[in-house]
Amino acid sequence: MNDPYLSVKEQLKNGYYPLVVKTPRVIVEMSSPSPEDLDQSGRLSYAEPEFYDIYLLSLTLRSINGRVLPRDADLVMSVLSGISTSMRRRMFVYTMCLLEESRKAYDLLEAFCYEEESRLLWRSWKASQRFGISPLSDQRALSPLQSNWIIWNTAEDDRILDRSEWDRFLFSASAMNSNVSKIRTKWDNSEKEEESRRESMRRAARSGDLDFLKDDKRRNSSNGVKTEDDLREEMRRWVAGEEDGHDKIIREYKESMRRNIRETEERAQRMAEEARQRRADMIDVKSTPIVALTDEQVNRLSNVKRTVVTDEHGEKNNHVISKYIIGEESRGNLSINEDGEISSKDQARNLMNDLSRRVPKLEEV
Amino acid sequence: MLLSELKKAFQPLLDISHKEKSVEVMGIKITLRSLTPTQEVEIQKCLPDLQDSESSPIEFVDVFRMETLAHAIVEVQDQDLRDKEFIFTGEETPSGVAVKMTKIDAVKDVMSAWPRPVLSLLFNHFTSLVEDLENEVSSAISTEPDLPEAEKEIGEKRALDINRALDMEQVVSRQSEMASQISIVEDLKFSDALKEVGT
Repeated sequence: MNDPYLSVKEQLKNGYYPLVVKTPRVIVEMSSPSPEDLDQSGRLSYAEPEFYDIYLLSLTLRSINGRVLPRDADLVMSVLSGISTSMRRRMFVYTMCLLEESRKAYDLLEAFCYEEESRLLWRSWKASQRFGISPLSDQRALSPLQSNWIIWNTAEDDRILDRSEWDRFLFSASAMNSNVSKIRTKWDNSEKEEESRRESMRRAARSGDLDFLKDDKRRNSSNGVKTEDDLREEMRRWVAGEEDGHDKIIREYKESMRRNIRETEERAQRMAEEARQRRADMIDVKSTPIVALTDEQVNRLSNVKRTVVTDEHGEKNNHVISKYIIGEESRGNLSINEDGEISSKDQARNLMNDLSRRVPKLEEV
Repeated sequence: MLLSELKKAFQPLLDISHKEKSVEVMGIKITLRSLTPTQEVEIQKCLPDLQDSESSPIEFVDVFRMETLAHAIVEVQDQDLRDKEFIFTGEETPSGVAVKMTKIDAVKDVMSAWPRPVLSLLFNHFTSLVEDLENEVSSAISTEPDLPEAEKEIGEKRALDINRALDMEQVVSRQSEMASQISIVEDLKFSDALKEVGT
């Protein structure tokens, strides 16, 4: 089964999405272009836009047959411009596919952050750093995706810490304040909603059913007969080096990246805001705070009488004494009849006797 | 990394990315080679502006074919033109300096005398060379991880290229058809005029 988060994990590990292109004699390693690579290619080909794709390709090639290529677009481009147009086009399509994978990774990042796997990876990053080992493999700077992930995990760490403090606080506060249960219910509902949202995100990501996949219809081809104007326009686009599909991929990638960075920041802000509100609620609940007392204060408090003196016990004692100790002995009401059965002495209370004693009389009609 | 080392590193990739094909046209052996991106850009720069109302689609197609073939031809008979940038014309300036011209201009100069069907045939050979190269590269290359989307897009682009070549053929055939219609009309008018003169 394919890992739905493969592109996210690869990019967190390397800072880019890697691709290996193999032929019987050549093995080429490529990487997904970073936003800086896209900008750099744009600047380098500013005067000659038709070389944009070659410059971009120069920046995405990492090694050929194990020889690591320099990150010098001009130098690589001078040699790369000697390959055939067929190969150039193929490699450029690969570059665009890598860009698409990067874009998908941005879309999947939020769902991945909600997975336990992400948190385990985050812990392993932190553990590596504790031992002085950088979790980044030969990277000089964090990629936007890595930055996003770190921002989210840091915010999540704070959230978990806040929640833990909150739970402890509620536990102690519940003994003193009746409002605690209301506040707890309020925040519990909020957490349930959040967990439900996270679960739906995880499910969508695992099944690949994200909204962005539905919009990925970028190919349009017409099979109708072309007019001369169509032909003119097509030729003009071709001559001008305009590649509509690729322009769209690059634009969407940049938009997606910016949107996701913004959303992550907003999520982190929301988490901080929630933590702030919880703290505000804590202040409300702290009407009778637990404070440390000095010995003198304890003594003073112990001298203050906070009891009501009543004679309730004395009354009860008198009742018991008069009934069971001082009171005279009386005979019981039970006896044993001729048949040896226990019966009450008060025969007048017996219903059968009452019936047998009845005298029948006639009434005038 | 030095440029020589870089070239060495790239050589295997360059080797598999190009293909040559020798064909015989009018008794002349011509070798065609797949183009580089730089050559493709040079060709595009030479093409007439289609926004310009003075240039027609047929003119565009003619220039495109001529430029493509001028860049693609790397050998004529036994003349190896692969590493040659300039060709001597055999003439000399009054001061005795040998006149030379670029290889591209020289080949275009020769081809300008060829009839359109010959250019069309040669261009078809070039198209089939590109097709063969695409097939060879496609069967030899693989990626990790698999990129089915990429293969689909490459296939679509190849189909687009084929359609573009067919469109060019269409333009040429439309032009020939229009030319023949004009000649029929002209012939009729001419015969009518003769009749009028006779009466």
